[in-house]
Amino acid sequence: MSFGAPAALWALAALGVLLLFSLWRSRPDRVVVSSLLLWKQIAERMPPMKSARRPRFSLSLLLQALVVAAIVGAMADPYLERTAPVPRTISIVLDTSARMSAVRADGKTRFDAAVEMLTVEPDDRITLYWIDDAPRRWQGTGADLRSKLREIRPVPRGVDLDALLAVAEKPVWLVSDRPREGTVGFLAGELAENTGIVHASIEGDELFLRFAHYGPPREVTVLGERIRLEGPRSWWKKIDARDRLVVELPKDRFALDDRVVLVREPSGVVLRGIEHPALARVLQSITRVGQGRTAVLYQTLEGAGEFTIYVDPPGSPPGFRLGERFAPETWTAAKDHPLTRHMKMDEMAAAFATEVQGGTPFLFADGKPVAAERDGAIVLGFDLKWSSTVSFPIFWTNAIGRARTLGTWVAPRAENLLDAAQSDTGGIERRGDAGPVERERAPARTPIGAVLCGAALAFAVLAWAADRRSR
Amino acid sequence: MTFDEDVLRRLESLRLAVRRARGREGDRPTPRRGGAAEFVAHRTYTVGDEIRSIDWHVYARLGQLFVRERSREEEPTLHLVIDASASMQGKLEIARRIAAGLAIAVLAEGGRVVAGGRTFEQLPSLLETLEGASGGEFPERGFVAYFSDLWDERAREPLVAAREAAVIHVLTPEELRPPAMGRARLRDVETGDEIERFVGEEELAKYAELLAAHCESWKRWCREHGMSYVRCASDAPWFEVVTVTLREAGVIE
Repeated sequence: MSFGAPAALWALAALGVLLLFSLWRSRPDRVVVSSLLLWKQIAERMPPMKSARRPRFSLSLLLQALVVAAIVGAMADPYLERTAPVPRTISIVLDTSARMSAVRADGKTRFDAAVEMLTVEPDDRITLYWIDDAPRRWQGTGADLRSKLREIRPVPRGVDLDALLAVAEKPVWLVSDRPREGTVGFLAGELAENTGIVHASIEGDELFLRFAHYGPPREVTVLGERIRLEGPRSWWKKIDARDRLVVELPKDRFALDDRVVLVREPSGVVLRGIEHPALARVLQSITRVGQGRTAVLYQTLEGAGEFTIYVDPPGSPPGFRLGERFAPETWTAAKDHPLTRHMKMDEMAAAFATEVQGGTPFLFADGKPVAAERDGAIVLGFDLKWSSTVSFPIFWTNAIGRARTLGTWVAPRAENLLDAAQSDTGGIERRGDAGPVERERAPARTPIGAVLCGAALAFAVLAWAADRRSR
Repeated sequence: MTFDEDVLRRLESLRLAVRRARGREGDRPTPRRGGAAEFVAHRTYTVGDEIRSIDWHVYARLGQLFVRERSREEEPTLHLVIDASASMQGKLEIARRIAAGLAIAVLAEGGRVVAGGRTFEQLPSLLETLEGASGGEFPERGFVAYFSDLWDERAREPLVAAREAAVIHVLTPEELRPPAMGRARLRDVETGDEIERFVGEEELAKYAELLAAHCESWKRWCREHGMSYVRCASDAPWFEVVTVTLREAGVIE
């Protein structure tokens, strides 16, 4: 116990005054005698100082002394001093990259194992940063942290921690499998062996794959071929034309890089020419086709090519040459051509047609080629007078379908291709990198003056009772 | 209250030292028992005198009737009077035992004991009564044994009425030699009066003087009135008080 105003303790000298006063006022012992006959004949006198007896124990006096001591103690501003941990303000950055979903030997993912290392106190103030489909931030206390962490999972792609680390206020606790300078790491690595696909593309009829491999050499079977992997490796294979290709490796502890699906899909179909209401309605009815002002677009993928359909263009499109215009009368189609499948040639009509040279023709008027396709483009050298025919929507459905098959191979983002950094599951072999971070302790005072005042009151009551009892 | 055989035997051998009254034969018959008769004188026969008291030898010589007068010792009667005031606490036990000792001696020689207003001729019933006996009256005839702490001067007055008496002054050790108490509030057990005194060495010395004077005053008064005075402490051996102290005081022979 310490005192905020220790000078008040000098008032304890009052105890001496109390004792002296008590001795002075102390009542004499009561003695019952058979008779006062003789005692009355003895003169009364003041007791000499040397005859002062050692004071007998007096409960009342003791309690009075305790009252004085308690009051004096309360006046001295007593307090109990102890050190108490100071609530911390912590920024926690969660690495939710795909690599954190790698499974360790103990069956936990890296993410779960690293999160378990976090130790916070219920009154710590926490700011949580992570990325799922966008950067996220959450603020709360240590008491709420666990329930929030259960809602957060790694994403199937890489994440940029730099952006999060730049905004997080220090100190920053990093939950990851790789350390970062300037952070307190709660790291869970361990997994070193992994084989994954880090690049997949198709050029023409050739599939190109790049593998990442960490660990001892192993052989894997890819599209029916045995491949020996001793480290990173590139691999090519001729493939036939198909709309969808799945490349899959044997499952290991990091499964996100074990499967890639490639789907042939152009980035967009551009419609050049005139706008036509019937054409717009037909295109809108085809799945995944959206209509712009002058273009029809599929969902756009970055870096991919385009498929263009020219309708009665005013000039010659690239790779094609337009001839003279004429009024067509009879129409014929190339045999078993996918663009003219299910069309009726006897209902075809146009005001004027232009002969199209170049590419592969698939539609003829009066024996002259008036429609052809080449290198991701279709040229229709006639107007849309036939838009009211049944063949009209059939042709456009065929055309969009054709565009899809003639589009560039693109690796989709869905079941997906991770970057090489995600497949690199080596590096951290330790199970964890940081233990509990100790909280600073600060002195805390607990005033107890009120306690002493209460004690003084209690002692006073007891002293009064003891005094009454002794009378 | 019980006594073993040896104590009883020794007590029964004691005799109360009293002035024993002598009556004259020829008087009206009185209920007397025992006692020796002694010739005192002749007197003329009168109607009513006992025939057996006629001295026929004198009649043969003188031809006139004369009766012989004799004296006879009366059996002693012991009156036990025990002070029953509040100040006698702690002293009653020894007072009763000493009283019992005296009573045993009197009963052994055929006397009577009066205690608590009752007359006893048998020891067992007397002892039962003495267990809680206190009080009593001062008779004019008989021997009175008065047990008290003599703090009340008014006790002298009724004592005067007794012709023969022994005053046994019983005091506790605390009354005889009170301890130093320092500053004390003294309370009279009987009156409730209180005084404050510092009781130190000086006061104790003064007390001893006053106590000695008080006892001496009673002793002198008893002597002046023909009474025996015995002082004993309440913690003294009662048998020794009876057989030694009372004997030395002339109460027992």
